[in-house]
Amino acid sequence: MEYSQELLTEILKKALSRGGDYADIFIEETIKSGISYDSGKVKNITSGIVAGAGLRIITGTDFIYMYAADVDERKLRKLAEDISAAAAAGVTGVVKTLVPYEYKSILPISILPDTVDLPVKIGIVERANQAARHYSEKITEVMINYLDTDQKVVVATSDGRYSQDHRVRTRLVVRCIATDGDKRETGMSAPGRGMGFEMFETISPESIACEAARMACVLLEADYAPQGKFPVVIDNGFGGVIFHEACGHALEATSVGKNASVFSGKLNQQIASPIVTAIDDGTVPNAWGSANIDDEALPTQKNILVKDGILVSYMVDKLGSLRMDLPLTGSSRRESYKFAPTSRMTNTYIAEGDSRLDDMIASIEYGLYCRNMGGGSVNPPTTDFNFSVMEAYLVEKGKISKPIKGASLIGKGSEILMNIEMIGNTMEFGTGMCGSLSGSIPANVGQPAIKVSGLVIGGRA
Amino acid sequence: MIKEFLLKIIDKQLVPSELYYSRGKEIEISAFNGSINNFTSAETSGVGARVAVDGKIGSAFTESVTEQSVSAILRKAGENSKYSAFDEGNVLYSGKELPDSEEFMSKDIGSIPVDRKKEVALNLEQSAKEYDSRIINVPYAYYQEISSETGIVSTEKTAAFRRASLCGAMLYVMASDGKDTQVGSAVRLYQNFSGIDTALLVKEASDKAISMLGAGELSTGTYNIILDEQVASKLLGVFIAGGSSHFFGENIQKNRSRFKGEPGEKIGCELFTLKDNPLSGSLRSKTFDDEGVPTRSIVLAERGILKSVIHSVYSAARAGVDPTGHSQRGGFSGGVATGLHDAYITNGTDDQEALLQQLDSGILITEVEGLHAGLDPITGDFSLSAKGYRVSHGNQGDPVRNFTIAGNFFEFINRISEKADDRRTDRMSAFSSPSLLISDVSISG
Repeated sequence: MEYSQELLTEILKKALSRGGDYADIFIEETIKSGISYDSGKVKNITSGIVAGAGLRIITGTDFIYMYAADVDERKLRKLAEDISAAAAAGVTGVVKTLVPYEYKSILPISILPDTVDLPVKIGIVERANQAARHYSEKITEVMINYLDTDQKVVVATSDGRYSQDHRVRTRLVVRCIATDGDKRETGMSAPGRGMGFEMFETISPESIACEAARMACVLLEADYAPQGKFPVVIDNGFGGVIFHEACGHALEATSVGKNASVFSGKLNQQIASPIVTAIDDGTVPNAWGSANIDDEALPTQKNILVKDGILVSYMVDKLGSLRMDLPLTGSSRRESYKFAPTSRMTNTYIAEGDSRLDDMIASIEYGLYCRNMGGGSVNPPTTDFNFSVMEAYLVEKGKISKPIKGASLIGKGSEILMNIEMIGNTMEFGTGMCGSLSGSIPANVGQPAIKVSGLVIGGRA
Repeated sequence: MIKEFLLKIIDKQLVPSELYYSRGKEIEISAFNGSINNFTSAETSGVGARVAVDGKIGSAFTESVTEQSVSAILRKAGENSKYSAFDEGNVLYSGKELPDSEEFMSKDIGSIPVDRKKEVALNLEQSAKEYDSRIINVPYAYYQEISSETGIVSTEKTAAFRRASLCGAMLYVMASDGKDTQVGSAVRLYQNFSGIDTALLVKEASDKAISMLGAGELSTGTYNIILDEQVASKLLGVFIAGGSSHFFGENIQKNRSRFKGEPGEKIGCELFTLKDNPLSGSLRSKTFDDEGVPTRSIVLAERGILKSVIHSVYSAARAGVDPTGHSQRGGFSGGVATGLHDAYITNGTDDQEALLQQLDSGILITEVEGLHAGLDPITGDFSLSAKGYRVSHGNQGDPVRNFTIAGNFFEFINRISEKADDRRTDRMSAFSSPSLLISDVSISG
């Protein structure tokens, strides 16, 4: 994608010619490819290109957004003309000289997906299928999705920011069904990285498949979870979804700036147990949620959100910064050019503490050890959250006793953060897709193991 | 025009090929603090190609609707198909040219000036703030409209085009009594702009938030409950109309469904009658599916007995039967899957009041959350965060929150002890249900 500074400056000037304080343009070209596989064979192979541009004008704290697919110079000018007409009646906005931002990529790619032949990609999927089926005779179905995306973006803003990014991501999703007589259970494992095909050199398809198969088989032996309020140990990795839901979303300027978050106006106040430090870091090399620049052309950064229990920063995009008079944090993200950007999480995690997992479990008389979590959701104004447990074990008298299934954990984020009693010493990330106003975006959640009290466990009688 | 353009390209293809075209035009307007804080407008289009040769299928898509790009994705789909595996289901539908469908076009959206659409969003926000002093913030007040054009053409003689448009309004409010904060939302879709009733949305969202203020907690136990029509539609809809639906031919063939799929199989209780009517005239209506197969009304279950399962062209070919008109795609870039159009559990005869009387004492569930994660569509197990009201002596009482309901879909459809007559048809979801009374449900608080 080649777009000259002159052209982008012209587009921004035209957009602001009839009014507006600020404008930005986001141009994208994303190559996607996917393989779906079930019943022991390839079901479908697809590929395509998502390409287009989105243009935004902000006036005060209001914005207008327009986008178009398959753009060229003529269509970009038309888009600028259309948006300036919609913004009409105001003082012409100023466009500063665009200053290119150059950097050393935190997302170096050694094998671009487009350079890998289809049979080689299918080979990865077949290896996963075989490994899952060899894991146990109880595995009766393996459903696999291989996905890769290669996104190139150009972003320019009227306050002079101008940069490009190249974001390549690869993910393998394996779901297994285990069957034993009338009993049937499912397991899933779905890691992704900000990498090309070399991802499979760091994490083998066999290990992904065996993890999904193992989980499905464990659940065949599981009873339904108990009901009530008990202490819970949530293991590292995708367990970080608890912070993501219970707190992270309510720290995005999207909700804070509209006074629609329980954490609005709480900067420098204690919102979590003093042992909690939480971070959103868009700069983790080759991580699933990383990028070199955010979608407003600002370099991504490591943002400490909570330090020793004190709220020290929100995640702030341009609109949020105007609404709240706070500095930008490199947190502006969107699914594609079809969405206006807003403040979002990248790779969000609770920092390591000093407890050992064994000691956490040993400290529980009766409770749960959650090894694998599913997704969840939250209401930022109240922080009422829920998330599902995929694989868990009952803890009795300080020891893991038996597997349990079918539980969700619910609570109020603002209370749960205060109830984190122990934090483990090994942080790990888990891969997720996060849905919000600016679409569905790749986001890592992470944490060391944590021990929490006061969660409602939604099991069965 | 577009029809001729696509047919011209298809006519040149030497192998079985299909093009799926869609164009969407969208306007989204939101109000915040008395001004239009977001105005989004866009028009996009794209084409998805599928090529099926010797039982192998491949696909590709593009957002560039030019002869060059569309021909390129046909070639790419052909290449992709070579690496696919043989399956007798990998065929394209042998169809015919259908009359263009325009019966679901809005009569007025196109002619209403933008300023009046802005007024809807502004009016929603202002009316909600004036509705009650306890409404302290209205983070989202939206007007939205979508018009779309969809077309399917193939070398197998299918040619089907439809145009449709609708508008909608959405409101999300926060209420506070100084001690507690609660949220409420309401969404409505309308075929015509003239149908928009902002007062109704304001009342629904605001009442939801206000009536939940000061909500208490429940003690853990087993309760008799009513799932109100919205909750019943959302919860059962995942198992009935979601991708893992136990009523989809492909899932039955691949042994992912709990059902064997034979007509006569007992799957639910007497009150469980499930139908799909794509021709009812509701917002979900369609005269042909996403592979160009004409749709028809179908009974899936009657009084707890399975009557029929539904098929895309793929699963129908595998079963050696005719497709039922239930192919579905997530736009031009999505794959072809099975999907219901406007499925529903049939209404009972009495209203929700009568259902409360019959419940006598228990819990009325009015909200569930975590549907994307807190359930397993294949096993039927669920455990979900919920909100609602205590019911005693048949009267709706105090609000309750921070509890979960847990159970299993297959158990639930066997334990419906009564249903109301309040099913709604003004949502976009593929499944709707009246309020349902279900006994002995596990609740944790």
